[in-house]
Amino acid sequence: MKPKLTIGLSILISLLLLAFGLVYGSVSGYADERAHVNALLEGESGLLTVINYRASDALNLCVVADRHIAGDTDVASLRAAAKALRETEPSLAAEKVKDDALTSAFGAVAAKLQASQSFAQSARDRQYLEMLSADFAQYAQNAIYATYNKAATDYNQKLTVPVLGDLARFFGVKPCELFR
Amino acid sequence: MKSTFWKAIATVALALALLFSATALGEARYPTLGGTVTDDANVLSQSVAADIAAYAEKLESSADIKLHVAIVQFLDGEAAQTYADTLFTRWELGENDLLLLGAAAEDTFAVATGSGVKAKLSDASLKNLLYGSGFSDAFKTQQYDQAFGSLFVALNDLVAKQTGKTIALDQLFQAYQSGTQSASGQNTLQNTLNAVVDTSSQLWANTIDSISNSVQNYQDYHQQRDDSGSGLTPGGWIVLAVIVLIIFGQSAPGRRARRSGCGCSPIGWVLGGLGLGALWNRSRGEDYHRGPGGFGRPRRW
Repeated sequence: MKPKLTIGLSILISLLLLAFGLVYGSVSGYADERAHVNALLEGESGLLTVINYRASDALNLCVVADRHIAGDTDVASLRAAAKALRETEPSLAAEKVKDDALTSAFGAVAAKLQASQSFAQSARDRQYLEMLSADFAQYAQNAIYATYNKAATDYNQKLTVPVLGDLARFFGVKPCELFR
Repeated sequence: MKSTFWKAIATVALALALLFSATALGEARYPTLGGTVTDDANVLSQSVAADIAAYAEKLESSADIKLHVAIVQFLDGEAAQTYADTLFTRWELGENDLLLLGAAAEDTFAVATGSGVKAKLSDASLKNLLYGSGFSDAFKTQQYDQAFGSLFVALNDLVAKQTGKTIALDQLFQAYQSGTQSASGQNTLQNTLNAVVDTSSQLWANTIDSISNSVQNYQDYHQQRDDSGSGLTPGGWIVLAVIVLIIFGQSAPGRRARRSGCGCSPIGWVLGGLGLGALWNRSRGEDYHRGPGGFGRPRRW
């Protein structure tokens, strides 16, 4: 004999189903959106990768600089800044600070190289400096920064939506940190 | 609902993958395998590159050694040997592969070999080859054709000596066959200083393209999401409604209503079958216990 449900129990089960659907839908929806925002940050070609390649360019510049101003303190600082940037930080704000430091150190070494007599005589290394500076700047101006920050802002905005956003936050969905 | 479940699983998997990919921060840029010679620095002439490719075929058929040459501009902070070993792994090279790496802008190079090659040509003999054949000097003075030409002529001698397999070079590396040439020309220093180098890099251009694609992919996803809206799909709403109706259909009044049947319309039959007649009848305070009655209508004897 099959069990019979009362109307009240049926309504209760339906409401529970709806509540489950609401929670599951909102959490999975936010998680899905979050995964796409994270792909912009941590993906194979994401923002952190761009930062890493800027560090690579800086280390490459150190190789060129060592041919002309070996042992220079600015070169040592640039190398240290690049290596520090390659260490993952728990916060994006800290990454930004290190990235800014790298930009300054890169500029200092480039300026010092250009003042070097042996560098002035090396057409090859002048070309390499040009190549590295262009690549370094290209990464700095890449659309990934603006796109990530906008995506993160939009996501955080959605997370403030009443009920659904509250539910998602209650179930552990966290806002995205901006790169600034 | 099932597809949503799998979508959620996929999302979690993607998030985990992304989490682990974050640990890849600090990796250098590596070229993709582009045949026997992958010259991202564009330093080899076409004739020498073709000779290397032809020699690689001969080397593989006679000594079972697969030769690969990779030339990049910079090593992105990696040591040459580390970069070569990583590239060897990334290219999924095996025990019979020999990879010769050169970094043009850094004037450095390295060799990575599989276990089968190590058994035939020891690391020490290969190192001696790099420094004793004139390769090192020529490479460091940006005379790349001479560097590689001299190297492979010397490598051919080494292979013959170590494995007993003699490979006829014929016209290959012809300019470098008459004794190992050194790169110590009188204008070497001047060449080094005034060399016009090709500072383009397909590898770097590809990296920028890849990042642009990443941005584009997100924008496409965002656009698609905006177009399709959010929340449940129409199919999802239908599934949800059917589940609710089934639950009501399993209730005691629902079962009775379903047994009592429906005499009105096809829709009435469907709703009656799902037991909603019970709700309707109850709301009207009618007796739906006895005898047949139409959906939404009290029984009339």
